[in-house]
This record gives sequence, structure tokens and C-alpha cells, in this order.
Amino acid sequence: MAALIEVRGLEFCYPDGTEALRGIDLELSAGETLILLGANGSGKTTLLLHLNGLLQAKAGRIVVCGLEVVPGNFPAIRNKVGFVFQDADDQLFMPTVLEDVAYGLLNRGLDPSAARAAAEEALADVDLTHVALRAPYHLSGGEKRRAALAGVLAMKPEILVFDEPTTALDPPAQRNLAGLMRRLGHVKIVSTHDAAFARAVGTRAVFFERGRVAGEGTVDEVLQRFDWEAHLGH
Amino acid sequence: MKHLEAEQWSRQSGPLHGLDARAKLIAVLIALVFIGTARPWTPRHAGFYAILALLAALLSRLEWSGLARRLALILPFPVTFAVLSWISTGDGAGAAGLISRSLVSASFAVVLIGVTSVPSLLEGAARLGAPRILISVMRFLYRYLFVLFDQALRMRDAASCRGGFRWHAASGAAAALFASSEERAARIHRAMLARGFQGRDPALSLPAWRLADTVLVIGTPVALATARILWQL
Repeated sequence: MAALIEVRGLEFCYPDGTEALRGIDLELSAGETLILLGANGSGKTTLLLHLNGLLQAKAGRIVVCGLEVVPGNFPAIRNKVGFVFQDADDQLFMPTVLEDVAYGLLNRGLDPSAARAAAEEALADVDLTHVALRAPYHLSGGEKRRAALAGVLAMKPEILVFDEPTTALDPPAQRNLAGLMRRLGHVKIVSTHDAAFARAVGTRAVFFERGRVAGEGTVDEVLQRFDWEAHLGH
Repeated sequence: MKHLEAEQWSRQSGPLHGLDARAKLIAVLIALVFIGTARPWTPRHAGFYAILALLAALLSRLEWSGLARRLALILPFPVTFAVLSWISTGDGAGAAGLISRSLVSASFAVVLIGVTSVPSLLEGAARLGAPRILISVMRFLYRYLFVLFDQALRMRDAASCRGGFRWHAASGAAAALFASSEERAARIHRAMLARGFQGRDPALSLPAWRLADTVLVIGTPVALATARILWQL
């Protein structure tokens, strides 16, 4: 099966000289949910930001859905890769939840009535129809996360990228999010520190260490091999 | 974010809220031109335009206290210029005129911003032919101004929890504020890019141009020109 995401020899260095990625190779195929595990600063988020061109590699190559991630392909790739950011407050900047969910659709050139209908549908998918006209800052942490996800789902991407989706969520909200993510049929790539969440949603895992892939396998294999739960104090 | 609170006003319903942003923008610009070109500026002129501003405020159905607070924020600027002008020329009447002229002008602008969301206003300006680059800069300025404000509030809370604000630490705090705001602004910009931002913020619903908009755009200059011709206002 052809890979939906193919990363070869990816290297990236921040302007302050920090080498964040040092030759990353990985693939992701249809039906998979890939979990990225690893300590803070190991390169997980930096890799995710490369998948739709938010950061540009120093060396290496990324192909997403058959398109190389280069500036000319950014609009097409950003339609295919939906990104749910770590801090939902960074993502929810419009005056109402409905307007925020419709934001990407309007940017894509959809007419306002079609964008409104698609946004309402996406809000229904994440059980947030009742907050459509509320201001995002009035939502709970779990609701904000789902609203941010609705904004991404509304654009009907093929791949969903989640950067630390359980940050600041209480256990019920984490379970709710895990259930919602399992229901979504998309290919997903999820960066997380949470072993239980990784088991709940992941089909495969990759362990990052100082900008390199240190190992990969099933979620349980990777968690055990790198003793990740002991590392977290579980 | 605080700008979302600020925009709650523009989401209320009132006779002025439903008008097209372009019509409101044109009407206010025309009023400002008439105020700016009134020569000489007498208490009669100030009274006339103040009554018009009060009418606009009444129609806006906005809170009087809120309008007054916003006007009070603007007041120090004309007062400073008026005092400087008074000191340098000794013309007290001219200085008072400067304050009253600025205040009535600001009143129209405050009502306009109260009944129109900033994104709609900027979209209206863009549709009237304002340069896109200028509109983009203003959009970012508006959004990031509140990012800065949000960060400042967080830092104030953090400082309060650790014994409060100290002046000698202010320069370091200001540097930290700008650095953290810049970082947050970059994250918001990334989130915008990830959802296809290409320099425009299209609105989900823009009011359609209606007869009331045409009446406002034609009626404002006609009424003000008539007042000027008949009563030299």
C-alpha cells in the first residue's frame, strides 16, 4: 500500500542553532494512527510542523498524499493535512465558535452559506452544536479542544495531525477525546506523552530521542522498550 | 481573548448594526470631513455635531457608560495638543475648539466601531478599495494588539501571585512580555496558515447592501451640506 506520508532524511535546525531533527525517516499508510512518543524537545512537534509546510526542512524530503511538501504545494497540502495544535487558544481566534470552524472553509473560497452548513455539520460531529454561537473563550478545555478539531474536520482533510491533544484535559475529557478520535476514519499522527491515551488511539508508535527516531513498533512494544511509563512515574 | 469581548458590542442588534459596513464607513468619513472643514469652529458648530453624535449613539443602542469610557480613553490626546496649542498661541478659544472638534469626531468613530465588528469594518474598507496590504497590516495589528494585552494580563497575574508588581523589574518584564507575545503571535499565525490563511479574513456573513444603506450614504452628505448652506454649520 502506498504511504500517505513519507519522510526521508529530514533535518531541521532552529535559528538559534538547536538541531531539532537529525535525519528522520518514517512512513504512514492508510488506516494507521501513528503515535509519536518522546521527551520534551525530542523533535515531535518540529516534525509535525513540517507535514504541512509550517516549518521548512534544512535537508530531506517529505511527500504527503503524493505531493512533495514545497511552497508551491502548500495550499493543496494544507487542504489534505488538518492540524490540531497543542494550545486550542492559539487556534480559536474568531469571535464565535461557528465562525472559527468556518474560517478554513472561507479561506478555501467556499461561499458563506456553504461554509456555514459545513461548519454546522462539523460541530455536530464533535457534539458541539449547542455552543456554535458562543465565544470560544467561554468553552471548557475539553470543548475548546473539540471546537479546534471541528475547525479542522470541516475542511475534510485526509490526514489529521494532533500535537499533544490531551494537554490540560481532565481524565473524562481525555476519554471523550480518545473515543472521538477512534471514531474518525482518518489517518492520524499524534504526538503525546500520555501512555494510556497512546494505547487508546494508536496502531503504531515511534520513539523520538534528541531529534532522531530511536525505535518503532506497536504502541505497547515502544512503551515497554523505552520504559516510558516508568519514565512518567506511572 | 479580550478582542472577542470588545466585539460583543458589535454583535448586539440595533438599527445601525445591520447596516453594511461600507455605508457606515462612508457616512462617518463624510461627517468627519464636514467637521474638519467647518470654519470657523464655534460653540454652535460643536453643539450641532454633538447633537448628531448623540443621535447616532441613541440609534446604536450601546451602553452610555461604555461609550463614555471609550471617549475618555481618547480624551488625553486632544487635551494634550490643546494645552500645547494654548501655551504656544495663548488662544484659549482655539484650544477649547480643538478639544470639542476632536471629541465629536471621536464620538462618531466610537459609535462606528461599537456597531461594526473590526473584521467587517476592515472587509468593508477593502471592498471600498483600500489597499489589501494596508488592510492585512491592520488585521494583524488588531489581532496582535490583544495578544500583547492578554500576555500582559497573564504576567500581571503571575506577578501578583509572587508579591506584586515592582517598578525596577518593569524593563525586564516588558522585554519578557514582547518576547512571549511574539512567540504566541507566531503560534497563532501558524494556526491561521494551517487553515489556509492567504492574507484575507473572509467573513461568514456580510450584510447585503440595502435601501437603508443607500439612504445613509446619500442622506448624510445632503443633510450636512444643507445645514452648512442654510445655517453655516
